[in-house]
Amino acid sequence: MDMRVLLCAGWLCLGTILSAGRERVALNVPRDGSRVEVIATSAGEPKLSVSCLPAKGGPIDVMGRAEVRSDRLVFTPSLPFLPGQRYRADWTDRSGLPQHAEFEIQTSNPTIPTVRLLPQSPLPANALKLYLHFSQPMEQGVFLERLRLVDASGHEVSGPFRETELWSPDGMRLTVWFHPGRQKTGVNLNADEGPVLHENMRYTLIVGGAWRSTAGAALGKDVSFDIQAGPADHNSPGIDRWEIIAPKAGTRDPLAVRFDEPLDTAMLKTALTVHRAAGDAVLLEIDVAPDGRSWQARPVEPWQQGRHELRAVPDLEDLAGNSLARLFEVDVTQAEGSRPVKVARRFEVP
Amino acid sequence: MKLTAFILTVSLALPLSAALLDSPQNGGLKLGSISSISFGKDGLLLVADPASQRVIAIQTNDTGPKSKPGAVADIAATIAGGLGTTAENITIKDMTVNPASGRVYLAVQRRPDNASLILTVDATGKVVPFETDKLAWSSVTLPGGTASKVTNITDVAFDGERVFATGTCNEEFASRIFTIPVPVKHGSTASVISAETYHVAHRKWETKAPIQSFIPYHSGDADYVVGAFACTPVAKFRVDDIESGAKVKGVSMVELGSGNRPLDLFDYTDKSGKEWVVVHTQRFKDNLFGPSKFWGVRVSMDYINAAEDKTNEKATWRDVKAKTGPEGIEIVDALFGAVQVDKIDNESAAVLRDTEGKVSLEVIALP
Repeated sequence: MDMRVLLCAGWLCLGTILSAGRERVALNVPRDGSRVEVIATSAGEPKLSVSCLPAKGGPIDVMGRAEVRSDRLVFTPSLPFLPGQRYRADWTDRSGLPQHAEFEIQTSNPTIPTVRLLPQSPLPANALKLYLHFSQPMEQGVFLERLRLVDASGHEVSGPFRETELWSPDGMRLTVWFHPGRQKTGVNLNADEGPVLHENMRYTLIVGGAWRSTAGAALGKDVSFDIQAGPADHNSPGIDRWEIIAPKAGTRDPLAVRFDEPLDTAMLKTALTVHRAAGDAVLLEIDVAPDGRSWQARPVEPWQQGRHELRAVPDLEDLAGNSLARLFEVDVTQAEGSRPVKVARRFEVP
Repeated sequence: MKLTAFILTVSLALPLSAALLDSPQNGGLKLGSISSISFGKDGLLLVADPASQRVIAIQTNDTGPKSKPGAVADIAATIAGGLGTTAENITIKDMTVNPASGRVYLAVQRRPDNASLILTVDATGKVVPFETDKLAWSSVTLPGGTASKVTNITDVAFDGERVFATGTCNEEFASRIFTIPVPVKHGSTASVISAETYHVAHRKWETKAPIQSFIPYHSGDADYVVGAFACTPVAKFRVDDIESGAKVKGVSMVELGSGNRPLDLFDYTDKSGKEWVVVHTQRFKDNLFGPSKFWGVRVSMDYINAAEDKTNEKATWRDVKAKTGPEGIEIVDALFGAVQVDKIDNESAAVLRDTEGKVSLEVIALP
């Protein structure tokens, strides 16, 4: 008996079907596709298998485990059933006749993902990385196929990115590294092919529209971001050059810090802290400017009058990978640790 | 005598995990992601889960007898079909061979949902999911950097006494080596070492380049991590008596040539007793030699043990336009086209080879 059951959503009895033996049978699949259950109290033997029905070719056995749970046969696939994919369950009824039913978890019109680029700032010609922020977790393993860098004349830049794929734990932010071997002075790739970015040139980063969210919805169309390359940056940021705009005591006005150059927008989320004179940290709500040039922190409790200290982690980097502690390019002939590293600034809350 | 016999019987019946895992969990393991897998002794599988910043040690109970894995043509399509999709929607992230049984373990990620699992291939070439429901396991957290968490664990390995992992944060361009004592205690945190090395290609300290792949190595009285970097120096880091939080400077011995990304590293001893380290890489520039962008080279262990006056700025450069040279550095023909490689024994290796878009599992003879 050839039957097809279309499954929409939810943990439901998704289709009641009649087997060849005229016994009532129900097929259940939860929304997350974690298993399929054949509820057939009179099932002849505890045997259930599931195959995938590809668009081309014959059925392919799905990897998973079948078991008997009281009144039902349960098949748990090794990975959840995929929305939009047709599957077929096969079992044997009481009379010993083979039975089967097809099912498919329909896609529930997932939201189209969006993407934005940070920092929204001109980049030094020796820039090290960019961040793509997506509105949803995205599929992994395809970023080199989905990203293109095109120069002002429309020519694609060859091999611009480091091959290592680095996502944030929530899968929504991708760190896109310009190839360090090309961005770093004197490395073979830099000498052979030149840097990825050239000063005073404009580029376009194109994010391919075929890139899908983990729910299966693609961006839909290519998304382009303009990139302006400025002079190379071979200097470390300096906390002494930052402008600190102190709030007033008794308020929850933000503490504002303007940097001497754009800094890494992702690191700024956690790299700066504020401490009272006694040393205890102030609980803050952080806001990082999209261009990485400034940072604001609003306290959870009103500011207390008196001396405070802004502290930065030494690894906080500018857009070229120069940190407070050291330059991205360190010459072996230079004495290390000769430059004092300052990572704190005091300020008064009046 | 009866009591002695009883004690002996009980001790033999104890699971092997008693020695390798401390306070393990039993069943219930959920892997958020898998970037690297590797085997220790006695069937101990190490899994790097970057999504949760953990290394997980699983006692597989897969302890032999040993046989070679069966060949599987178009294995990517076989796996993809079994996961309800097609070959272009899966990535085989890593492959390792259990030295105790010869069984191949594959870490696979499916798209678009990024769901991950481990599969095994036995001597008959049968591909099945690796079931962890009834297995003992311990997980160890990898500490992050000062400004971000570890989100990329490039490799993990066991040196007989400790577990090592290498990783990076996705915000800081930095290289870290993690050490985990054995038995692996569930819920503990790894020690971390910041690693720097001299980059032969541009004669500067490549202070921040991440280690892509590595092997633990013991020479004389010293323990080392021998690692390969992008662009592509091979360097070693002395890691005995290193305290957590310390910085260790690597010593570069060999430069394999720029434009390459190392993928796998293993060591073996050939029939004559000579020791080699095999570096398997992917070229991202035009080929200078051979038919594929995936290629491998074996390097005499003599280079790894090179005297100080033959390291760093005086390290040995591979002849990038020839199959061999200088002496003791040789391209391995059988590795052309290999996208994943791991040693089975001193005579053979398992290879996942990409031939015109189809990935197959093969066993190759080592030279």
